[in-house]
Amino acid sequence: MAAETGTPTTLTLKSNDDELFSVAESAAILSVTIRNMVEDGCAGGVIPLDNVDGKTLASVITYMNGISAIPADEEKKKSYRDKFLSDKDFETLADMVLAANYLNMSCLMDAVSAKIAQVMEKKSVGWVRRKFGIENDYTPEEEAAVKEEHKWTFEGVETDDDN
Amino acid sequence: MEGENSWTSHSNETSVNNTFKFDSFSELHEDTNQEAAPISLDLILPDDLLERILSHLPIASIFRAGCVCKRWHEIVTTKRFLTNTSKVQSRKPWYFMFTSSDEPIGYSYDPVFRKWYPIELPFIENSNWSIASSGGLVCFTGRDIGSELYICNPITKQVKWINGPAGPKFSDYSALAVSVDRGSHRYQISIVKSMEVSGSFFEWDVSIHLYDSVEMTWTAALTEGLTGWRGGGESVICGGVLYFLVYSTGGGGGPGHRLVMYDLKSGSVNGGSLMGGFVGVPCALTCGRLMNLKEKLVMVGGIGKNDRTDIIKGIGIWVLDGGREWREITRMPHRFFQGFGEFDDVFASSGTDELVYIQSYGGPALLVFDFGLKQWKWSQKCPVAKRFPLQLFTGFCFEPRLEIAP
Repeated sequence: MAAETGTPTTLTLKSNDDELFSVAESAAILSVTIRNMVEDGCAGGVIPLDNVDGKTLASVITYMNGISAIPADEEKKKSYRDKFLSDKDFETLADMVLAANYLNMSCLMDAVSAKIAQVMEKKSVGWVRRKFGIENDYTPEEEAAVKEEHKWTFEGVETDDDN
Repeated sequence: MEGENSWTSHSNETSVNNTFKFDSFSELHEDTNQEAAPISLDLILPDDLLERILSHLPIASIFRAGCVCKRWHEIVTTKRFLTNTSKVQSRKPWYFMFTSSDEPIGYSYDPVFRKWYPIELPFIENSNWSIASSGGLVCFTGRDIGSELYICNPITKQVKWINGPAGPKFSDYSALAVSVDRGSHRYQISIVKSMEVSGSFFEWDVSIHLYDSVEMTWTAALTEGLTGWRGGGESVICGGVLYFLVYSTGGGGGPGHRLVMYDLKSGSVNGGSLMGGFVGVPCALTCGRLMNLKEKLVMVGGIGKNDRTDIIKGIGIWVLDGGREWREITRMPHRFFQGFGEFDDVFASSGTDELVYIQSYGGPALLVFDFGLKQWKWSQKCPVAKRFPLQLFTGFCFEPRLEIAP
């Protein structure tokens, strides 16, 4: 790394539940949304992030710091992301993907999307509906027909209470 | 690969304009302390983000996602989604194993999830049909090439009947191959017919017929006589060249097999004539099969014993370098060779992309060679049992792809 001149710039981020976080600008600009604010000169005081709560923002900042400390090595970055996401539950992942989308952090969004897909892949239709809060808008006949179309895909699905 | 459909471009657009507000999902979740979230994640998840998540799912889960609700069904069936999901994930080729010689039923093996799925094949009558696959499409034909030629996507079950080439409907031997252009999805089908010249076992008429999916017509590309050699059932298209094997019929032709190359672009046969361009095979082979592994021509075959070439002592895999020289990639280690148990010297092999599948006709055991990893591995056990002593098992390899239609 090149030698730093002076102290690195720090930004203050504010979550929608009014928690404040200090983060190095170099890490925070992984978010295109924040980078645009910095470039437009709107990052002087506190940067309000109206769509992210404190708990999620803390997690995202951990990620920003962790990933920006890794030199340009895609393998290492990937294994950091894998490890970072390994213990997150579905609800946390859902919050993170929405936050990554709002903050426009492409690499985090991709990693979390893949992780959510991995959590979902063996789950039943009923589990997915419950977790995503989806109301089934198929009639019983329509649902039977759409399931019949590729019925082999229902082999080996993890069973749960109410599929 | 950065087409206008790519994730990067379209997600940036939407994220930049992303001004909607939402409450944290988990916060609501905690507040109410209930299993189901009172404000559904589904309502706050924008389409492009949902699309991005679903694109990471394996194929079986994508079909199941379509059963969740109508919105999800719509998302996972758009052309953009189907194209993107195939870019996001590299899916390894599957192997379809027939579990009956009289009916078109069987299981498909997914080597990533190590699972067998009971997939039905449309229209195919039985495992004796000629089968060829490329880029997600599977082409198959019965003995009557004129009226029994189909091309399908076995995953989406889309199928198309193709009127066969002009000329005699039946031939003594025919070799089927197909080649799909991954970008345009245009495909070409080739049939190499071999007909015995009235009563002489040594004289054969060999003809090449080509079908183009855009023109929707057949062209008779070449007709030539062979003496002492005949075509068979083995051919493949690879890097714009149609390769097929010819077999000695005795009568001065020399023993074994030879390889013929027909350049599809220039419309010419290597060496000017079929016999002039013969390329030898690596050694005395049985069950020689040709396959396209990432546009390289690969041959799999049983290596005959020195004194009895019909009895095999091992199985080898070779790649053709520079259109002339065979280079041995690997030989099946002895413990795998023995692992087939009842190995009756006849085996099927089929491969594409980076995988070669090998299976003995005598049983459902399936061995996989990964070209990239240079690794042999047994498949998960196929959920089918041998029901009678002479039951034969065969199959073919295909790429599981959602975005391609015949």
